[in-house]
Amino acid sequence: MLEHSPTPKKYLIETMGGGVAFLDYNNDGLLDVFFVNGGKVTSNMPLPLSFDRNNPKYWNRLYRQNKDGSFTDVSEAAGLSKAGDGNYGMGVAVGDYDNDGYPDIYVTSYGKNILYHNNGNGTFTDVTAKAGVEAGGWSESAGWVDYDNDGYLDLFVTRYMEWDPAHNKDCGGYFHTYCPPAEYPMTTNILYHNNGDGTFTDVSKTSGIAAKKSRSLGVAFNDYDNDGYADIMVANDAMQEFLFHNNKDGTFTEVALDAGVGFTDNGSPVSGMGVDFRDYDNDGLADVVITDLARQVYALFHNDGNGMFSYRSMETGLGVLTAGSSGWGMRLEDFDNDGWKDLFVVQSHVMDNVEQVTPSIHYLQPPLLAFNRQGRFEAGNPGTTRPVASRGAAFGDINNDGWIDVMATAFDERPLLFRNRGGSAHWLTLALRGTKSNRDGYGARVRVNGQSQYANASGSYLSSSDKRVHFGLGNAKTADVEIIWPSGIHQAMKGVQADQILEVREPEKP
Amino acid sequence: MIHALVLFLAIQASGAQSADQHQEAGVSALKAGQINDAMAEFKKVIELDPTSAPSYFGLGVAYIQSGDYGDAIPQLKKALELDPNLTVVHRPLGYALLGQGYATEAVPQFEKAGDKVGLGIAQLETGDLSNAVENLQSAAKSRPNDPDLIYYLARASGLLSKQLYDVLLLTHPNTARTNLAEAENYAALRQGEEAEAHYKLALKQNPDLPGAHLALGQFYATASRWKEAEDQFRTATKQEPGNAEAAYRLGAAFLQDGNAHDAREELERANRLLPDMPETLASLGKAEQMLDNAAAAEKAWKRVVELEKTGPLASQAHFGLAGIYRKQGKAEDAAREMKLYQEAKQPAPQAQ
Repeated sequence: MLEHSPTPKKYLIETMGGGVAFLDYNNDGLLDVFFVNGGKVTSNMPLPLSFDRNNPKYWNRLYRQNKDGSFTDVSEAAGLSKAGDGNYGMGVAVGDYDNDGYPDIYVTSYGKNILYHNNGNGTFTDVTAKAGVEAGGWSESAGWVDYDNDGYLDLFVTRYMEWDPAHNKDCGGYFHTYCPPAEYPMTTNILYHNNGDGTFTDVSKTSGIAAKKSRSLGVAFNDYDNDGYADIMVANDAMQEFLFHNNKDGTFTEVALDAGVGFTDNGSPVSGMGVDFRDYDNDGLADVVITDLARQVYALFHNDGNGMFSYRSMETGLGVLTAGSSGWGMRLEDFDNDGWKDLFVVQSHVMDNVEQVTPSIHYLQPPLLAFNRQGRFEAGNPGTTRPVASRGAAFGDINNDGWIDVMATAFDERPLLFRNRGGSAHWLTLALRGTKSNRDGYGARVRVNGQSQYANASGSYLSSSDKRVHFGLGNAKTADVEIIWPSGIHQAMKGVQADQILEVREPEKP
Repeated sequence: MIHALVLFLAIQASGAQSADQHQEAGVSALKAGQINDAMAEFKKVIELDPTSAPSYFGLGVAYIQSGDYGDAIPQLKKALELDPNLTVVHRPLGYALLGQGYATEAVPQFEKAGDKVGLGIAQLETGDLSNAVENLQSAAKSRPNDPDLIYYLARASGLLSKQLYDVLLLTHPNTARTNLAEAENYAALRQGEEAEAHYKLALKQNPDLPGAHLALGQFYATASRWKEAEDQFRTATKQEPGNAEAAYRLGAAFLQDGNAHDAREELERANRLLPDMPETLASLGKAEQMLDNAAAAEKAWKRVVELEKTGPLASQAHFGLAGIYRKQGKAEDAAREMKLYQEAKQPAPQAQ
């Protein structure tokens, strides 16, 4: 059960949290699931803050998938259950930062973040202090990315705002309500450079990331200008979004406004929460989708090339589909394997009493599945109409059947698993193994039968997805595969058989 | 005897001089906000010259400034009794009467003073709502950002609306028009289910009820139910082909659906029916932009910023223009438009 402890004081942290990750922590070929839990919040919050995280009710949880498709809670045995009494859990990012072949886990919190090193024997060790990545403040989504292509995954951490319970505000009149984000000071995001020896260096200032303050909630990576270096898209709440262009010298320039991805076509900000950075129209260029609050419609920015984007929420049908929706975790992924990436969003308004303010907007909402019909989205059946207060969502093929499933979290609910019933279309899943590049192959640009994917587990909201790269092939029984690894190595494979999970090892030489 | 006569004349002379001085002192004290001193001075004038209308006026104003409307009224009435041509008295007398709850008596005072705000408020209190709305609306033209005036206008309009609805409900129960009125009431109260039910009932009773499809369309649009809004606006435009608002709203609904071709057609039609509406032009610019007609979008948005210098439409248009110029590689033009976009977003200064 995802705990968030709503109080009459309307502490803002109650509205956030619920990260979830798909990862194969024991390399048995089956996806396991890691959940981040919140904590106990009470109206009176004396210092030092305690969220009762030693109570099993508020533990983070790791579930190992068994061969029969069932799951076993291995949280305590793995050493992942207790995440610090003073840390209110938020999100998770998964990546093999030391290239030892086992995925490591980074947990974000209000408080201190924790890096768990995977020992390769079913257990994890908290290496935060040695690594130097505790961050502090209010962290939200995080992601692993090799921004300098040195073969080691670096770490980007979004942070929301300067906030503490003593300075919480109540913006209600006749009843209590959470305050809008602008009531609290902005803060900086953090970029940690992986030194390759188990330690990290905070390069937020020298890289230019900390030059701009924000209220950030989501982060996704892609190489939008195909220059071989990862760029960073950050979803900000009720302010301009950020696009950090990688200058290829260890620094970034924030270019969202000039690129046309900072505001909607009205020049208005949206309440950016979840974000994905993928090519929805198969033109080989990374587009951006940002989930936000009802009445704003989810923002879709089409990559026009030449570093420019156009706001296309209306043209793509998202405007009509999402006008009344508030979205968090999400992903562009081909759920029906027809060769076009669809959109799945888990939803809920941020305010639990929004109906008192605006009766036509709802706190609890069912998820949205929008099928992509050659660039225009149409409503699909997500498998439920039950409204819940969802937050995190991870995406991956949990039963290795070639059809992408969804694991979502929702406040006061058990996790929600949306198992894809599949169909007759063909598919291909690539499990990348970097050699010269980082071992996960994050940052590899993959083209299959005219589609493009960018290898990375990040995006969504607070969550980390299956790192394998998935393609729907429609009627095609074979695929032509082209991979550009972060190292710059090109790899091509012709006539690859469809309907398989294929491990692809980065060649030692181009 | 001679000495006594000289002394009387001297007293008379010094008394006349003294009344003027006290009057001047009273006025000065009033201007300085020294209300008690002003009252004392005006009272001395009245002692020395009980026929001095200005002193009664001054004393009345001083009472008003101290919040004592009850004592102000007889002083101001006395001033008018002594000098009916002292028209400056009518306005404060009107407010004093209004403050004491004598709205009916206040009305002629405001009429004589030509004070439309006071008159409108007094009429609102007497229940003369249609005249109240008319006078307050007239006053609001020169004071569009006065929160008190907006409040009274809103209150008068709301009460007038309710009054008329009540008459309609009483005289024509369960008719299409009554259900439309009920629907709009529920919509204003944000009771969506009840509003929708009454809209639908109204249209069932009279599918051609003027304004009903447009109103239901706007209800759906407000709830972000754009497909349903589009259907209603489409019917409204068929019913009233000359209605520019219906054409504009249908165009805006098409835009929401990403249907730029139909949006452009309807918005151009709206612009022909009622030219140079900034809302129509702003949306037309968007439709043209969606259709990759940069020149047409630029033309529409340039017209918007000619018509509106600040506010959301102006800022949208400047932002759109900046995007066009950026894509055309005109960095300086784009930067200029972004600056204007930022400026247009600022709230308009309050009118004094």
